[in-house]
Amino acid sequence: MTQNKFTKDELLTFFSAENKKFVAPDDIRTKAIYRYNTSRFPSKNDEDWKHTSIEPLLMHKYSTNVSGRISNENIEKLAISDLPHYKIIFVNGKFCADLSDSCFAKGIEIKPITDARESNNSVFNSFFEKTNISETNIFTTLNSVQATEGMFLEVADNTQIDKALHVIHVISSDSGKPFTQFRNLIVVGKNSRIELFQTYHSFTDEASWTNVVTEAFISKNAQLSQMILQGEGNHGMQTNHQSVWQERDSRYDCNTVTFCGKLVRNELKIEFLDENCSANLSGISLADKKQHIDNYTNINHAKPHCESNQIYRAIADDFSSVVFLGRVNVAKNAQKSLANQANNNILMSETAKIYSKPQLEIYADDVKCSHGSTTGRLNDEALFYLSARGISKDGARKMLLKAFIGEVLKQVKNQKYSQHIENLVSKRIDATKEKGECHK
Amino acid sequence: MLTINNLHASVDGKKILNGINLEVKKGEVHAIMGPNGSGKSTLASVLAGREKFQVTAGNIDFDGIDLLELSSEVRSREGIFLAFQYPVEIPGVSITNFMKAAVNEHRKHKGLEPIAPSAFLRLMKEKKALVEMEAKLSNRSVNEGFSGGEKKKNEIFQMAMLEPKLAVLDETDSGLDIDALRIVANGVNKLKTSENASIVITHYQRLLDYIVPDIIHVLYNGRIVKTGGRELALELEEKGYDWIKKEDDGK
Ligand SMILES: Nc1ncnc2c1ncn2[C@@H]1O[C@H](COP(=O)(O)OP(=O)(O)OP(=O)(O)O)[C@@H](O)[C@H]1O
Ligand SMILES: [Mg+2]
Repeated sequence: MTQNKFTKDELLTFFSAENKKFVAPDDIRTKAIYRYNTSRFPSKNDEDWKHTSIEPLLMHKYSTNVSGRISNENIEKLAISDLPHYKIIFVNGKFCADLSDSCFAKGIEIKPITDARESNNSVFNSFFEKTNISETNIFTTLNSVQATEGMFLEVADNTQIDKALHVIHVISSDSGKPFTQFRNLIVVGKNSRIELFQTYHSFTDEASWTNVVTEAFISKNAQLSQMILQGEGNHGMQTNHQSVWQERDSRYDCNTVTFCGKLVRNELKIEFLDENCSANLSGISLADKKQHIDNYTNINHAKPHCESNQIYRAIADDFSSVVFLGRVNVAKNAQKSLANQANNNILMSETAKIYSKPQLEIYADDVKCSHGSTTGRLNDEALFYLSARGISKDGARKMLLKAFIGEVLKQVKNQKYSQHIENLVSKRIDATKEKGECHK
Repeated sequence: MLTINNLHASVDGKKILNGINLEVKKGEVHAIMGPNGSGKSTLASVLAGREKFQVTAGNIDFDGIDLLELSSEVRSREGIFLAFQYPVEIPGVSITNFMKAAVNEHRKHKGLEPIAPSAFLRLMKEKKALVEMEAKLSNRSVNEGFSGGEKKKNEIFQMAMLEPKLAVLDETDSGLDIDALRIVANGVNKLKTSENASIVITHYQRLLDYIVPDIIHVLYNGRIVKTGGRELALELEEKGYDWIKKEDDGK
């Protein structure tokens, strides 16, 4: 490693220097520190990290206490229009009470995760680290050591929320490179239903690193719909790991849209603890310049009669690279499992790269599993068809790209949210420049 | 209206059209027949401006303009329409959005404002009726999951929407049952005026009972080897192409 990079040890002492209130209880933290010291950073030799280099994360001297404020006006701009919601704001990981809503519907408890820990909240005590999430990889370990910020969300049994929750994460910096360790704990009670939007934004051109770790528990017959939008700019980096445990008859939907990022690694791990669960994952990655976006999913069909559906699509332009690694495990006794996985990618330049790797391990015999992966350029026949009706090549290209992404948005149940994303995607695609014409 | 002069074209270095000469006047219907692989679709694609085919010699004059100078989209706006032999499926693009974009491009080309939403809906409805296309089809993605007949109807529907000067129908009759054939042919006939023209590519005399051509051409080895009246179609139906091939190969 060269001089100007962060070493592993420096990274560890980075947050610990000051006397901070950590999210993780002492015993968990102590274990995590030990684990961190005995772990190493993933490298290209690790199967799951073959195409994602973590080097960019270690290239910067971050600062812990970057000052950065955000005006109410700017927050308003980030809100999703026509969509009733509660808003919760975090700036550089810190909860902003003055910008956030404070009254929520009955049954919803949402607060900084350290509050939950300090008040000896019983849900916090029984669920935090229940999935052994800090043992997943060095970044989740690091998060358990260092996170001082995060969100605690508890939805009581039988709660039908009237509005969605919109958690807005903003990075802002007057000087310095923000580094945020963020920890979420989400527990959805029996028969309850909740929609959660988590959007990430950046108001700085500085490099930043956000390391998010989330545990989510969905109780019997409950539903969690999670919609994640990542837009931390061209220099923003994010490592993200989420573990979801589902009880019987529960449903989990997750849509992840990544608009940019110097380096984005999303890991989503689903565990069906009982029968008749379903998980529906969808993702959109739009990469250009030298961005790198990596989605890793891992679904464990441990029990019979569960269903998982995945559709991930990406457009890679310029020198960007996009990775999809989708692992599905169907246990021996998990009969009648349904698992579908589709990954489709479009390359918009000769220099962009796509790596797609579906991995199905099926040990049961009475199952329906499918997976498909395609990577290519825009369909030349379709471009010609559109142009033969008078639509310009550039217009045709944009139309096809929007349609390609639009197919993923059909999976998003909340129409207003999908409309919001569609508008953002349209804007983004309309702004793209035309390449040397695309025949042959 | 259309004058094709000694047109040669190739794809991936392979010569396919070897000197086509053809003149189509307004108000006329021309039929082009010929064995498989003789170059009929290639001719249609070259007319529509598909870049993958290279024109190596010859020229095409369309109402005084040099067609080969124009991109496919501009040719469309100038009034060339190709009904594809194999219409492509375009997932995620609805017929409605597709046609709105196309109609507006055509209007822009003529210096007109975009069409008003209500007028557009009326237009869609009217043209769908012309080809007896199911109303709900237009909310579906272009050709996706359409039956063979629906795809062909959709081509004629688009033609009706864009009102071309010259329509090239590439085997629009293939794979149609007799009812669909009648509907498609009726649509084409209703769109016929003394100001426009069409080139109908077909293998079957059956279509020509509905769309009555003025002139029939036989394409073979990338050239028009025979031209005649309606009786030529009957003769071909009866005797096949062997005699034409022999005649031509003998030369
Ligand atoms: N991309 C290509 N590369 C090489 N050869 C091609 C290509 N496209 C077409 N051809 C060849 O050109 C010739 C003419 O094809 P074309 O599709 O024009 O024939 P056609 O008369 O329309 O036949 P059909 O009656 O079967 O529709 C055929 O031999 C075909 O294989
Ligand atoms: Mg053909």
